[in-house]
Amino acid sequence: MIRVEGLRFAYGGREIVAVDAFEVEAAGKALVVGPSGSGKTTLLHLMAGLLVPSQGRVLVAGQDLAVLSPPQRDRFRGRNIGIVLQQFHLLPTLTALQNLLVAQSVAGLPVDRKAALAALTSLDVGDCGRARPHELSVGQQQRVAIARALVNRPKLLLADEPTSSLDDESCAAVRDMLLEASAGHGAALVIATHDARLRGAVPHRLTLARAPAREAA
Amino acid sequence: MNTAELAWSYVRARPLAALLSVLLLALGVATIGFVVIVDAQVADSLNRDARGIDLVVGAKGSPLQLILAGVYQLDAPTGNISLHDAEALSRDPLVRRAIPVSLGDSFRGFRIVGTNHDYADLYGGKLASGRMWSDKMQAVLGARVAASTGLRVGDRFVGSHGLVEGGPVHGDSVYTVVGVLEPTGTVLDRLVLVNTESVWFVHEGPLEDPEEQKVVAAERQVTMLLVQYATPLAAVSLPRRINSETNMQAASPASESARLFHIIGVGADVIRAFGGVVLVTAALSLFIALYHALNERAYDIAVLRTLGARPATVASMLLIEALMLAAIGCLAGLLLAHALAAILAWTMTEQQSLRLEPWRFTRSELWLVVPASLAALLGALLPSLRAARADISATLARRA
Repeated sequence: MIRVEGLRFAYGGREIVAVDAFEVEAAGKALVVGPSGSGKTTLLHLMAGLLVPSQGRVLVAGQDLAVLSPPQRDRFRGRNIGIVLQQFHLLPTLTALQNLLVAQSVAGLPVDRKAALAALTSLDVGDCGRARPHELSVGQQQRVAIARALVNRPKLLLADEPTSSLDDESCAAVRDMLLEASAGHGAALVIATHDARLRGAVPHRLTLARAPAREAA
Repeated sequence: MNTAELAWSYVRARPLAALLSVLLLALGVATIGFVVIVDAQVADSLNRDARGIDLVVGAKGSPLQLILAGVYQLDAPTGNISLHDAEALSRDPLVRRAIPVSLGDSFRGFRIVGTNHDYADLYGGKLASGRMWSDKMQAVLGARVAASTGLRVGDRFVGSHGLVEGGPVHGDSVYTVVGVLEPTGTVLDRLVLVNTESVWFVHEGPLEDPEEQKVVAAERQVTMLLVQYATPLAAVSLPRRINSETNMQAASPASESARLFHIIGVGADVIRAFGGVVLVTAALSLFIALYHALNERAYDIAVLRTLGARPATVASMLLIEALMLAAIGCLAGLLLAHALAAILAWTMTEQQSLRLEPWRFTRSELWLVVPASLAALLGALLPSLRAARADISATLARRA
């Protein structure tokens, strides 16, 4: 579902990410691990099309992200890639349900309340739709954020350090939520993390070395 | 959940900041709107009062004063002209109709105008009750005079000398109200109409001696004549002839009120410019508010972009937000402008000056949407560009 080939990303003359080959099949799952500063987040942003590689290719569902125009890439991301951020950041001025509806709308998809409610229900927050983020518990916010990432039925779900600030119990809950929800929606899952607690859950992993200090070619 | 709803959610999330921008926009719109409304209303009012009067002929002096006194009943007249001259002019073939106007007295601040029945016809005055006068010392009241003084048909009153309240009373000359006119929205509403002989009678007193009567009659005067041309060509020769060949003065209401407007116009331009400055301030306030909000919302915007929002969508969100504030500000500003005009109209009524209709909405006011929207867009332009260009990856990484 996602394939990375000969990927290089340099910023300010420094090579930050170098991945020769990495692939996750449809509905598969993988971890991107490595210490802080090893370029995990940057790699995830490259996979999401938020950054464009200096060299090499990122293919999501067979589509090379770099050949798309920036607006096309935004639209492609909205429809095919779900992203869960470390803070599970919900838009604070909208209700939980509206956070899902806006995801449909900005991706250029028809607003479908039923689908949005179903996504919330699949993560056990079906009754939180009318609540605003500050009225929800942290756990509920995480669930709504994952539901939002999945509401457009993406083929790929990317999670950036989803558990690093959580205690063991919450960590396990979020881990299970991500695994179950991505499996339930048939999405491939890539988690970027330095959290050792996640290692047991996902055997397929890509390990990034600490800050590759080599100069960009 | 479209972009407009998203934008509105941010307006609602920070009502105080929104209120400040709306307030400044409203003040700017109100300032300009007030000038637009009053300008149009005063012009309307002046045009209504000058309708059908091609030329005013009176004593020499300021032509503007002559018009203000004779047509709008606002200023003191320049003096009187002799009845003999006035009658001679009335018979001129270039003159279709000449309505005499004699001023001098007032009743509780309302002017008593000695004239003929044509004067009421000029403004389409219709009787609400009673009849027109048929003899001297019979008065027909304008609608506002009747409403303000409470006088009705059959009541009696005495005029006082001078055009403002408080002059010496003509105690022995009692007028009888014979008719009350319907409201016309013109100068007619605030006048007491009598025949010209009444004005002479009040000032001459009863004359017994026929010799004396003859002498006095020969010296009779009117204040001015309101002239309608028999042909448009009269405009070319008649005023010039009167001004150069007689000791009377001819003034055109059209050109004098245009001159008056030119004089007032400078003041109006100053107020308008002030409104423009307020609108620029509003744009600035909007800019600061949105720019500040942008820092708070950087992460929100990044999240929207991860959800697939394009830079243009993010930019339009801020522009729409500004336009929403502009729309609210514009509406509030127009209401405020009309409220200010209503206050002005009230004081002008109290001063028995022009009549305004402050709550009449006109299409030209809608043009105020343009500067208000421009101010909003101006304020939102840079923030929206900055939002569109934000480095999403960097914003997300900073928080992570």
